[in-house]
Amino acid sequence: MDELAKNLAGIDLAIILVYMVGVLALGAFFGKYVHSAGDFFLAGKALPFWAVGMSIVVSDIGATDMMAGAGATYKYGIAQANFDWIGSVPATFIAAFVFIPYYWRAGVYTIPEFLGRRYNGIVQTIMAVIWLCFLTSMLAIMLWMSAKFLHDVTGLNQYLAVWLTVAIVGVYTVSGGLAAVVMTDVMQMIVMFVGAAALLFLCLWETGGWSGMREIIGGLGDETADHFKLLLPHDTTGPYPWTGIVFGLGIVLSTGYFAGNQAVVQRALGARSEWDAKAGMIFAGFLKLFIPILVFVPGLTARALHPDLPEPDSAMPTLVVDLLPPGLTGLMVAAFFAALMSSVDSYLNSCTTMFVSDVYGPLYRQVTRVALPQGQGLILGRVLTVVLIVVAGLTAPVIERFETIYVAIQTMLSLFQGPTLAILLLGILWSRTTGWGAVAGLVLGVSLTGLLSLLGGTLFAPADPAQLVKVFPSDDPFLFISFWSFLFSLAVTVIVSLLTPREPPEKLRGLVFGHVMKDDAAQAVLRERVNGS
Amino acid sequence: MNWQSSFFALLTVAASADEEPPQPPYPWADEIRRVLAPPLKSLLEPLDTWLAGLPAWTGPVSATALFLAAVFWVLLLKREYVYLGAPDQAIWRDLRIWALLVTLPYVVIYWMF
Repeated sequence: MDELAKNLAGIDLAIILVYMVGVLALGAFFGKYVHSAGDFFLAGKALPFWAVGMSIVVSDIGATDMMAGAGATYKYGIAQANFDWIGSVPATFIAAFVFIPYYWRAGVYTIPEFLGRRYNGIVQTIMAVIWLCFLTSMLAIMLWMSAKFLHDVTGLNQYLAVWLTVAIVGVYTVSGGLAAVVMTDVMQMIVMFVGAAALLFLCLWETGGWSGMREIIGGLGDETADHFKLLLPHDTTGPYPWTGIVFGLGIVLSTGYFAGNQAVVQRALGARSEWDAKAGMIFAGFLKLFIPILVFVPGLTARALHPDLPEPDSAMPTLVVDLLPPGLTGLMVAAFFAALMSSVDSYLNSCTTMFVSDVYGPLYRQVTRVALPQGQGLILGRVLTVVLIVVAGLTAPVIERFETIYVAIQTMLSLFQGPTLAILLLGILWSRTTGWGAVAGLVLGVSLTGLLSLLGGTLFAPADPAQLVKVFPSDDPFLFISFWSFLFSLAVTVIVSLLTPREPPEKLRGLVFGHVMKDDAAQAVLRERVNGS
Repeated sequence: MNWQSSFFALLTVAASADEEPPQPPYPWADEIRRVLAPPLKSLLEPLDTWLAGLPAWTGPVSATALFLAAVFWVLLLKREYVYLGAPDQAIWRDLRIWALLVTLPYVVIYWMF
């Protein structure tokens, strides 16, 4: 790694500097368009589809994902690409045509807010609290893990990497809100794609193209026999059997991600029209096609060129050191920074939005009996952004010492994925779904997920894994667990809904299929919400 | 890469960076597993055995069927719904065509690999 650190001079440093100044300037530019909470949290509902799509994709890829994605491909082969491929289509279509229009017409800022309107405050609070815990803890984790990675790859001081990111992301997110976040994401995606494409080209060049790479890896023995298979048998020893990929990932987890993840949905809610919101989602599904090619081909190349790496995760850094000449190294480092910043800014903005919309806003309304004024929401959003990013920067170096806390939060969120999708889906498609049905589906669904995770050994793992009775075929059964918990939550929500009184029709207006407001009315609600009038 | 895979990726990074802390014992969790895992396993076993016995082409065919089902569903959506909010009715704004074009490369990839 020292060798690369020495290479980071002259042209590389110039490229990194230009990139950072460019991001800062672009982000700060959008500050002049922010006059209300609607401008800050939803970009004044002015985002075009291409910005929405690009932002969704780039926010999803962090610097650590680039490294770990290449590492997983090094170890398991192209089956890792399923997370971006079948993990995007049909999920983006379902999100675009089933979920997004209803969120959009409801004029909400967040998913918990939608659930609160459709069901009740209990569901809203549960979802808001769990997402806030997840997003805030992820900020510090992402900062530190990515800084660590940048240190490993470039020799850059970890603390410097953290505070550089905090300063740049903080300035443009505070100033321009979602518009700045999305527009810098667009620039960051271009930088990421160009950097990764340069590495991809050199990878293919070094291995004699795709066929050369297949030949080399095919000759490495039984361990790499399945490296070019996307869908592995149901009884595979690896973590990605086709049944889990198609049913668990393709149907439940990916749809839950694109329809239920605040950071994703918020971009679509900031679109300038319902058409742009839907088109942005589908465009994201198209862009996702390229992510595995850009991130995972380096993993295969590392396997071909360095088959005996002690750690699969060192695949990407090793290739950067080996293959990239000066100039392209700077571009690649800029790409890593782009990946880091685009994820941090998204989480930061979503976090403040949820706090204002789902925690402070309802409390304010309860105490004062009036809605939170737009101006006050804007100030609060900006102050919170500063507080959160600074706290994330301060806690980043110590977050590792509390690994169990953030693992617990992550695990907790993973328990919610299937049940959340179930209540969202039923809430939109079936007017008979009641608030109590949703509460029961969520609570019992999460309980079942927890129980299955425990039985599968992913929660409270036994001291001796050999003692574990293998309930699921895969060692990482989260794909199967999410599928079963989704089906269970659907069933519970339906049964309890049928046993409880119907929701009044006026409550469902505009929120449920068949009760859709006429478009003019929907637009009026949105205008009112965005303008704060 | 969605957040589930990011989650596992982060754990991998954390695990590779430091020595793994010793796993604390959870006797109550072991007890729950001892009681509930065998009946659940016997409940799921017939399904697992059946799925494991399916021919190798079942995976790609299922994935392709999922893609095709999604795109056929989108193609059946009403024109007004697809264009809602669009500034004009230009053919390139027809999101059903977008969905079809986006799906094609996925089908080809899953059929090839």
